[in-house]
Amino acid sequence: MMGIFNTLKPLIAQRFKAHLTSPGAIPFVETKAAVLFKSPELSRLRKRLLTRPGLIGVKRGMVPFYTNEGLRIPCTVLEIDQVEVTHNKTVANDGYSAVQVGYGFKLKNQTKKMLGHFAKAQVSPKEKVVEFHVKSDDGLLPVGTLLKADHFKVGEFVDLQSISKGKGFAGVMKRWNFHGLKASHGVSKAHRSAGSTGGNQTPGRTLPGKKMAGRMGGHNVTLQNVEVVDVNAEKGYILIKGPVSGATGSYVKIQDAIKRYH
Amino acid sequence: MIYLKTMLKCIDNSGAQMVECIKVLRKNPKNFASIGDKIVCVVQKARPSTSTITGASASNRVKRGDIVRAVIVRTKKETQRPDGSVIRFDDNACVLLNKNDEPIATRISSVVAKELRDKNFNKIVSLAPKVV
Amino acid sequence: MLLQSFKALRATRSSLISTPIIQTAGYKTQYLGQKVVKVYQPLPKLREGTPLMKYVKENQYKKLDPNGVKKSLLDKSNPSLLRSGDIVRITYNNKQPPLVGMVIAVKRNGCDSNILLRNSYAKLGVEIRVPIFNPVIERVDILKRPTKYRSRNKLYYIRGTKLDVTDIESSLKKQQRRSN
Repeated sequence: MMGIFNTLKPLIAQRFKAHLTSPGAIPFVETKAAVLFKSPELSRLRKRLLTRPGLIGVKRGMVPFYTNEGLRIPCTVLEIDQVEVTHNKTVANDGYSAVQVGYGFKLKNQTKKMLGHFAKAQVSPKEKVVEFHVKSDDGLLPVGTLLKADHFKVGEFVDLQSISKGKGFAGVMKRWNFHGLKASHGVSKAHRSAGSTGGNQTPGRTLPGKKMAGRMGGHNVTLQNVEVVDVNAEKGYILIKGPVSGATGSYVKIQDAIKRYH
Repeated sequence: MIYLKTMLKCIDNSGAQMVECIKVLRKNPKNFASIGDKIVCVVQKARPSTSTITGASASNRVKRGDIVRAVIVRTKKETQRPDGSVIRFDDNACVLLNKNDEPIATRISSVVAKELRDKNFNKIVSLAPKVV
Repeated sequence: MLLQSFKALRATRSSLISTPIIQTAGYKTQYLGQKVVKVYQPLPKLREGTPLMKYVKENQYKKLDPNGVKKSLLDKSNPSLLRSGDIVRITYNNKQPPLVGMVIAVKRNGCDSNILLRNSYAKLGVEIRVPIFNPVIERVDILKRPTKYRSRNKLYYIRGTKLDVTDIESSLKKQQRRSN
């Protein structure tokens, strides 16, 4: 019995290295170093991102679209004009992969920095530049690629991001759909006010996030899973089912629907 | 827009003339009933029963105060159709139903909306003299 | 592979674009004197510069109304245009039965234009708003015009008054019998 015990060598525990003693096995295996959960690298991998970039469009108005069966679909017209890749961001350089895409043409009031940036990419100066995160460097497109409206197909679903119309300083009834106070029964000059904003001595303060009057609109709004009704690459437009937030002439980011595609 | 306390016309030969909505079935409490939706209602005004009516129709007759189910067949509120057209009638009307969602009555006296066909009230549509 | 296609793309691109226009105004640096930044020409204008909404709307007219019949019904310069008070029949190219009614309002909004038809069946008023550019609508026929038009374009006020429409279909049938 003792002899058997003597043949077993004690395990040498070393950090990142596991020593195996059984005969015929690989003597040791190098393991990967642990990565911090909150590191930029891991957080990038955790993110649910698309494999390709989207487009920028400009909202031009709404029209009805009739199918051959006679269904009427109210549609928003988005213009896709001179959408070109202006820059690529890589994991090695920037810590994440992204495609920078520009829209249109604008020469007036361009800064020298931006002019140089566009000259480097060999594209004309753009009026709007946005960035689309992609999953990995495989999703990057060569700089200067012209993206047309047929990037998306009819029947596909997209996510739309745009800035909603500003409503100014709005009361709680308009901003948060509160009911207001009563029209009579002693209410004085407070018919559209919010009423109480919290408790008494406990907690002795108004809790953070309390819905109150303030600036309404003018913020980013994302519409998810919106159907593409019609696409015309040659004439440069996409028809999207239903309304899109923002005024006519506002920029709209169009991407594959994140909940449907990868 | 049919909700609690709405008075509707009853356009079948069940004996009811006016009914009052007391519940919209299977809808959000804040919501209202439109064409093709089912409601529970009270018969507020009924035709006086005559001895000439016999047989099955007599047993199906309703009286004032009865609580019955009904389906809405016309509304004053506009209803949009998939082809983009919009329809509105000059009154709110319903047809009384039994527990199996079949009409109680044997006859329907006036126009009903086409939407009922999509909601599987085919018997009402076939009984109606005009479908718009 | 990607790099190759990228290079090819660059090449085609440079052949497409003529020599870059050079911007000379502005951007003087203190030490180097005037520095010139290359500015590339924009791509050719889409639709030959036609505004997009104008193009889309015109294209819709071409697609939905190739003969221009429906458009001319709404054209105010056309003497035989559709007006409130006319009695019209709408014929569908699917199984839907034709629709008859009096026009009580005309809404002009490009290809989204519609007419509001009022009719009554057994003393019950029924109103249908019909988008006339819908491709399932084959024809819009004016059956009868009033002897004198009312002085309003929207005849909402006739609802429930003695001016209200009667059963149009039966009255038209009577008229036909008389003429026969």
